[in-house]
Amino acid sequence: MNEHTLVEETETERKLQLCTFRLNKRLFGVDIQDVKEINTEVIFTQIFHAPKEVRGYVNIRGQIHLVLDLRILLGFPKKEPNQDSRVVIFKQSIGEPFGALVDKIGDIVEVGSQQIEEYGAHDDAEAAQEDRWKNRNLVVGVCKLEKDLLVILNAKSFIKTFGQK
Amino acid sequence: MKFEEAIVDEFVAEAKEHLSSIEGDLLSLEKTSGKPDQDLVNKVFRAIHTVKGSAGFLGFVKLAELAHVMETLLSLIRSGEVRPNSEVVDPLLKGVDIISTMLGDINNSNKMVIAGLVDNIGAHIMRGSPAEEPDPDQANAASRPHRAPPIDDASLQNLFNEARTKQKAKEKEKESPVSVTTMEAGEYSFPEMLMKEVPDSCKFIYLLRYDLTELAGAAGKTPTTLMKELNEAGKILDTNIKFTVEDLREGLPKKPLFCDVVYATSIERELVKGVTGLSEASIVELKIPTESASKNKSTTEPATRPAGLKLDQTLRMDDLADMTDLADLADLDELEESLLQENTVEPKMEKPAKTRTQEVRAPMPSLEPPKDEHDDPILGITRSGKDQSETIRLNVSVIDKLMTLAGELVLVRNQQIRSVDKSDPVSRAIAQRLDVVTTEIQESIMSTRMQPIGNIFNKFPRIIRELNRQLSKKIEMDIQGADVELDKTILEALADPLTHLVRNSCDHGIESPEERRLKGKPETGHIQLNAYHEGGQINIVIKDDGRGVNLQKVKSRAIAHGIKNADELSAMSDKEILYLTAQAGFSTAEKVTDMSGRGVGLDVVKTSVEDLGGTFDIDSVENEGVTMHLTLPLTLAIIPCLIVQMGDNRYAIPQVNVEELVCLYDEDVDTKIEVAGDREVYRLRNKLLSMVRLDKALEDELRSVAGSEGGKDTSAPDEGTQAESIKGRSMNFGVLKAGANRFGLIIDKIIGTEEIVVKPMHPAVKDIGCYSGATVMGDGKVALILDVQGIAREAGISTDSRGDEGEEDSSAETETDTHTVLLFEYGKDEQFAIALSLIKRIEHISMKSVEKLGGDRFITIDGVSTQLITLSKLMKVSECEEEEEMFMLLPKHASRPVGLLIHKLLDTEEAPSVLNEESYMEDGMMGTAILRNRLTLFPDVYRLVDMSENKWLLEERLRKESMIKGSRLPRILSVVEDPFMKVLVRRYLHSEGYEVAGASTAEEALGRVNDEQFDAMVCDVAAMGQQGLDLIMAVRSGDRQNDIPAVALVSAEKLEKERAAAQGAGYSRVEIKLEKDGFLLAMAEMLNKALIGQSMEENDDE
Repeated sequence: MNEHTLVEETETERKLQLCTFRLNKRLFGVDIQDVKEINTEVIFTQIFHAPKEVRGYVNIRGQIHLVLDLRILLGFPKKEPNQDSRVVIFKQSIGEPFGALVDKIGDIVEVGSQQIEEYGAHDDAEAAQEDRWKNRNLVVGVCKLEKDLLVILNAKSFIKTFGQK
Repeated sequence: MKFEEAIVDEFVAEAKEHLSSIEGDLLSLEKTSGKPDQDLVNKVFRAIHTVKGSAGFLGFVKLAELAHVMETLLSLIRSGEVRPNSEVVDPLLKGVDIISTMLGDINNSNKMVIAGLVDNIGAHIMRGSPAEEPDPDQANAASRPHRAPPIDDASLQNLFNEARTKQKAKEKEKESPVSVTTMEAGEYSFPEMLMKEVPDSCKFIYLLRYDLTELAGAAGKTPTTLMKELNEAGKILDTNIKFTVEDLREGLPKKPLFCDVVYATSIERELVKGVTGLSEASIVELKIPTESASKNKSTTEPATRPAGLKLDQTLRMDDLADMTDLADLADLDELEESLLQENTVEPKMEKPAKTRTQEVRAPMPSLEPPKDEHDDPILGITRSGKDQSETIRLNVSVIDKLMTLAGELVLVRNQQIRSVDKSDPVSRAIAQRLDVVTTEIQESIMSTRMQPIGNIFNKFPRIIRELNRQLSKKIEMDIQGADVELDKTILEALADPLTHLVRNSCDHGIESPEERRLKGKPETGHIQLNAYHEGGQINIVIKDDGRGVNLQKVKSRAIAHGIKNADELSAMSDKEILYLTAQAGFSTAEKVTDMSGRGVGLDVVKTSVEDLGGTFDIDSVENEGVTMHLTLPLTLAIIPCLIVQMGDNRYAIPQVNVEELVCLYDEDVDTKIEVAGDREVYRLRNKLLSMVRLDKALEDELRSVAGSEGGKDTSAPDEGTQAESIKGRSMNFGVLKAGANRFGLIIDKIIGTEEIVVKPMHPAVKDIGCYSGATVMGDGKVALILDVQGIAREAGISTDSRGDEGEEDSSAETETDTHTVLLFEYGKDEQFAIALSLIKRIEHISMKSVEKLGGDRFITIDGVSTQLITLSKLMKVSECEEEEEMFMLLPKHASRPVGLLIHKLLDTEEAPSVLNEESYMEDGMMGTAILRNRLTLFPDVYRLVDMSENKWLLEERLRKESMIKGSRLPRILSVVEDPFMKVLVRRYLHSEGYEVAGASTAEEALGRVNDEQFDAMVCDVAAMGQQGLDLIMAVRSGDRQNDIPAVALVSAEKLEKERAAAQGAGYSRVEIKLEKDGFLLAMAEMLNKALIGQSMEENDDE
């Protein structure tokens, strides 16, 4: 990653750098300032009786991180990790050491704040999810990229939304 | 400003240290009030003195004021004018308390109201008798010769004011901003002590009043300069500055700032003006007293003295970088220190010691001595040169960081050990050294957090003292093991529980002196407080010789609060009743006192101790006292654990919770785990242990949450494991204990023990009760640490220890004359009983679900149609008014699914093995006995089962049996030791029409075999063990009847083993005891064969 300041004050808009990843083929992203690192470790220690969004614990350089299954958090069906899966580890400022399991990591994308729009459901299948996401403050907005629609997530809300049905 | 904060923090820390030992010292002084230990008095005095000084310097005037009066009183004690008896020590202790409180919130300390206490102490000061010896304390320069109120700056000010008015009246002096008159020298008396400091050459002593503001402004002189100048020509003995509101740290005030200096010099009056630069009005000559007539009890040091210091310090603040200033202050401290010391030795007029001539740059002899320490407030570290051993005061966060890093190092070391190439000697050696060094680092760092338990213990004498007073009791405490060390966090968490326990003992345990006298006990009650290391844990024992716990009261309270009912209570052991006191909401105190009786005490203690990973035990003997025993682990962060495996996951179980490990082999795996109700249990050395399968405990819930996760079918506890091959299997389980619960945890595999670093659970999953933390294993994977208490809860193990401890032994296996029976009622007239060993279980049934078929009633249990036996239909007993809800007793080893209908379950009771068969007998009964004063009928369940057979079944059976029975009535030798079994076997055999002869021992049996003729033999091998085997071997190898058909009765649990042994020894058949039908069938078959054989023989013969 380069050392740009994240928010460059230009005359008209601020720019946001997003770390993007794929979940269930959809493209999502989080503010890169919240991300500490991206790890390839996919072997987790299961924690029984934990909420279903919790994948388990993983040891990264001696520190124990809690790993969330972002698919389940967002309402997608569970899937076993494969070699593309990654764990996005978030900074301490977001919460106690934790990370999120994603299907595939994407590029760093820079978007201007003007490009971010309100989230609205694509189709009926998503309508149910939309409420969920909105209610829990998971989604910050969407942004149209060349090929995809990027849904911007709020990392801080991940931990808070556990265990809610 | 950061600098100030640091100084204040430093002051607080220091003051606390000074204060820490004062309490104990004051108490000691109180004890020896007749002859107070001078050293101790000095120690206390100095401590207060220091605190006072620094407090004043920093502007904490209330604190300074309080310390001031305390110091005054203490100096009286020092001089012997006041004795440190209880009355005197009391307010001093109170003062210490208030100072502590102030230190706790130092920035608000000035708001505290202390007038009451100050007056109190002041009164004591006043009361101190006037002594002939001079007051050895440093005092104000100006003091009255008669009994005067303590001199403080106000008085001094008054003096000056008076002098001024006088002056004005007398002379017309040029107005100076500070006009002060010369006083008549005789009005001042001179404190003895200052005399010593007067160099011989100095003949005159003057009281000079400077206006520092003016000095600074007009003359451009700083006080330092002034002092220097003065000291060149004489000696400054004392100084006094008065000002009130301003905080000098802001800089010098603009108003006139008067500083009074007591100055000794050889210069005459006229010349003094020139030297001092003062006007005539500001100089007063003081008379040097020739007699030691100072009746001055004013031991108050000018409270403003520190202010003078402050002034100086203000200047110093500009020279921050110059640390030597502080060092010089330190020199001054020593100076002051030695001054004080000198003064307390002898009030002689000696030459000052050589230390006094030390060069001082900040020449204010009124600096408070912070003892033997050199302060370095900037760095927040104090070096104390007091003892030979050096100490360093550190911030706790530094140590915490070290601990965390040590933990990480341990983890890395663990990993490294695993990954090192074992074949390479060099790497091995390095790994070895790393291992050793790491262990030592870990241990050393852990020891940094260790503090002696005396830190808590030393609070108790004071508490006892207070309680003694409040409760009018006499209690003494004996403390041992105060230097046993504990981790700081544990220590802190322990303080409150221990205090509570001690208070409890004092309040409720130890009786009043009168009561004790009446009981013949010594009037003074004793509490013994003992701490020691044992078994890798810290043990703390609190033992009192009071009245003990009144079990009756506990019982009645339990009932009153609805915690237990009378039945439960009568079945509980004394110890269990004691434990009730440790339940929440429990208290036998008549009323709630300040200290205890709120009913939130013991359980909080128990929980706190257990939360720390320790145990709490209580023992009581009525009228002799109570002993409470706590154990605590040595440290929290790194604990030894047992590593186990379940499926793919590894778990760590803290060693402190592991009692023992058991491994079952082969068929034991199936048979040993019995089912009781809905739980699996294991009989471990005659105690029942609830069993928990770890996989179930963990996975069960998960299944229900996730829904589609699949998994094992766990609808009911497995009656056994899956039907695999019996041989070659093993099962491991650990006997775990947490608090009062004991249970067995079944796991796949035991990996080993390891010392692991405990990492707390992530906040998001912290509330799952099963885990107490996580750790990284040697291979880098994360393992969860099980919370044994939590697992017990999840699995539903009852917290009532009774279940685990209760011994259920089948009567047949004991050799006593009694066995346990279940008392119940059916009809309204009779009381019935059935041996527990014959009962499989008792079901609650609803009569609505009963179906009628062909005159009989059936109900479905576990999917099987079970016939109901109605006692009144088969025996001459009273009818039962059936209710909606009834009970059904399912007998063990019944040939058909039947159950006995019961109306009311009463209790279990011990009943004699031998029943009365004469008083009342009928078909279907085994006999009677008197239990609980009632004639109790013992139904013969199996007979009843037979009796309730419908005709067809009956005929079938008879037909079968008649086919195999012979013509003659066979004679069976029954070899059974246990009286109950004996009766049972006899009945069985009788019911078939056999003739039975009995032998109680193997010898007897052998004898009878040799003497008499039998058709078959049955032996209770299960109970008689080797003897039974020996018997058959003897018979088989003998020449009399060595081919006699013989049945061995074995126990169901050890079936396979005993079967093999019995058959090996020579038994023809092996049957499970108590299983009537199998036994009889076997008997019949055996006899039939024999008979056929016989008849064949006969046929042959013929």
